[in-house]
Amino acid sequence: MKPFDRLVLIIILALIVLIAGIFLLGDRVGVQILAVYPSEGNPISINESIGITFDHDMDSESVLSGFSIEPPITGDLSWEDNTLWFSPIEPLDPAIEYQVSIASGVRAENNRELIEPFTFTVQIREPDLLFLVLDDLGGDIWRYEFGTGQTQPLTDTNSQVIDYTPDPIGSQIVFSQQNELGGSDLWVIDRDGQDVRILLDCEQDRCSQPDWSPNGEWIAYSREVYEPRENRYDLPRVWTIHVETTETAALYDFGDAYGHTPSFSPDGRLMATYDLNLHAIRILDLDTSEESVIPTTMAGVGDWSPDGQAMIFIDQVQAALEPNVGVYIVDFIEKDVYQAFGEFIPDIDFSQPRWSPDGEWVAVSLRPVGAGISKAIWLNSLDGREAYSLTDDPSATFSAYRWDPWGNRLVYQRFSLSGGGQHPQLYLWDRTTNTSVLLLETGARPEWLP
Amino acid sequence: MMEILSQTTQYLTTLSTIFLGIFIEALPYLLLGILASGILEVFVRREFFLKHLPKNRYLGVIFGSFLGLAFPVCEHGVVPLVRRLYNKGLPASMGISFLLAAPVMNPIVIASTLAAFGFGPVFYGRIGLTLIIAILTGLVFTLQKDGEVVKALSQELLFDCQHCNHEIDQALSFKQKLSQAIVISGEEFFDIGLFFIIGAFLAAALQTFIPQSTLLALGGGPMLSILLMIALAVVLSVCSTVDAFLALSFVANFSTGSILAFLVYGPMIDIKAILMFTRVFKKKTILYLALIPLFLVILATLFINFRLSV
Repeated sequence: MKPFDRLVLIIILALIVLIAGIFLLGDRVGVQILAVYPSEGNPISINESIGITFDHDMDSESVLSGFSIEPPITGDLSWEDNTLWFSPIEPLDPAIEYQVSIASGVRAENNRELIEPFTFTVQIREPDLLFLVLDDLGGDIWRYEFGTGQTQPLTDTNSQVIDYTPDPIGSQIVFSQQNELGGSDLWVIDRDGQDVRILLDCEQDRCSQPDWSPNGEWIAYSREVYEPRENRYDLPRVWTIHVETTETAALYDFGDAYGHTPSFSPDGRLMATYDLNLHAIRILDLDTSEESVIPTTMAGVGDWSPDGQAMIFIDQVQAALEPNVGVYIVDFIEKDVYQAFGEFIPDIDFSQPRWSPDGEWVAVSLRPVGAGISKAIWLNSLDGREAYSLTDDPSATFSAYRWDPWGNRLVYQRFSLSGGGQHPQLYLWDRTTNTSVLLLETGARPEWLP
Repeated sequence: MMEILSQTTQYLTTLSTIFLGIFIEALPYLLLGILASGILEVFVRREFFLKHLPKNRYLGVIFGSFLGLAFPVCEHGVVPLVRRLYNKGLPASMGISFLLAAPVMNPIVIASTLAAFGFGPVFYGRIGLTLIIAILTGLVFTLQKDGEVVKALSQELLFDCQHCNHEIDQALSFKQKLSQAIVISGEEFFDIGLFFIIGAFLAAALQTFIPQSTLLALGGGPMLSILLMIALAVVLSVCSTVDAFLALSFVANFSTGSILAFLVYGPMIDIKAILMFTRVFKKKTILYLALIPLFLVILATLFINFRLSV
């Protein structure tokens, strides 16, 4: 063997030894965690998902066995490429800093392992409250911060906002705003009132009643099409729009599908609309396109149960003096409609039943048939065994009540019946003390902002 | 019978498609290299060339690894160019560092790598590792006599240029010189091009009969992924000007080290290149040229996978 060949052989052997050495010393890097959501110092909303992105395709079983949250909470785990998402089933608690951990040793599909355990902290932001400040024209959206007690306007439309709703994680708000052509458009802003953008220019059509899908990807809305030849508006139909692509289409493509008040179920599987032809709540299964129809002469859809498997709604009941309005529950699993609160309660005009987040109670406004227009808010147990009044003020009427995400508080609107020039006020009822306090002197149609 | 016929037809269709894909993709770069070779032969005098090379062999190796910045050719064009440079008197070790580095160390490939990966570990890693490995391999060959490295024809040209096939009369007009350069390029094309076609065909055949999905399915740990990506680079024989975009499609499933192995070793050695090397280098040289960078690449990329969080 020539000296040069010997040298090359030695070099190659030395390289092989070095390679073997590195190999035998083992993997000191292993699986890496590229990113977590939320990142440090950025609190998330009470129902937002927590994410961990790995640099490898992971062995799902291995990761799930090594995943933990302290204090423990229940939720669903899912994968999106190399990102593990934990979606809490119940709202997270802003008072708690959650410790999310991945144990060392969790494996990638290629058997590389996470060498060091990984822990990060998740902070939860306190929900705020949105409300409208109204004048004769319409309103503007404001935000009330519970932490500071401060209010701030989020829109500056010269009272052109008709209605609004925040997305499920409270990062964006969609609202309908009157335009110069007499129609109304859909606009989107972030939770601080920034990043204002038009989502849908409806020109002369009236687009309103927006409702977010639970995954935040779609918005259903009601659209009244302007008929220029007849110079009138057609009856409303329900449309949907994809938030990212702004692709929009009617929910039903047949001619007389007139309806309004779209509402996604909490699991996003069903959509409820009120059908103006059938005088019924129409329930559409968005996966299978199967439909059910729940007749009711009271225009509007009801309120979904927290698990999305039932809906509480109202219907008119003929009576001697004047029609009563009863409360009913439709169970989509058992395919059954039955009287809420155990039995029919005569001579009462119920409205706006709202299921509590724990599914055990219903807030409902009511007035005795034949009495004045003042409606009081009551809290009824679902089985009808318990009921108590939250308001006791015949000089005002109460409405637009919304449970907080835990069912501990109820914000509602009070409107004085004592004379002109009155503005609606917002009150907050606390379940633990069973007391209501005046929250805002001027405010209407509140919504919790997660 | 019909099934066999149908399957054969399918294989032939795939084979021809892949072959044409490789051939068409690489042909412009081969032509560019051959044209550069012809122009170099006609317009650059041997004395002028030798005068401007570093006298120190070690510095020459480093110089050679950066020479690609002036000759933007990929691995398909660099072989004829190196052969011509050897004829002009380029030291063998410097030619080797140029041969190994030029397919990456040229403006086109640097730009395409940047476009695919941005400024980051893959971009810097590709340039850095290519330079280190080309220089180290070149330095090894400084210890060998040039005549032991390159083949007889080149050796003859190198040491006795009076008998060169293309001894150029410097009194020729520009037009005549250009015509001469094209003639030389044409001869070069048929000389090297045959091996290029055979290499492209072999690469296409391997891709046809060993599906990429099978290779990817085997992709695994930090070591195996490196070996697989090296094998893939050798088999695919993708031109270095476009391989960064191909590598990008592997990023989700393969380690950074293995991506770098693909991007560093592939441009140095692949099936076509090895066949083309046979027109320039002696057999042992080709073996060493394949093995030394191979083990250096494995060592470096394994170190990256096992020790560096990139």
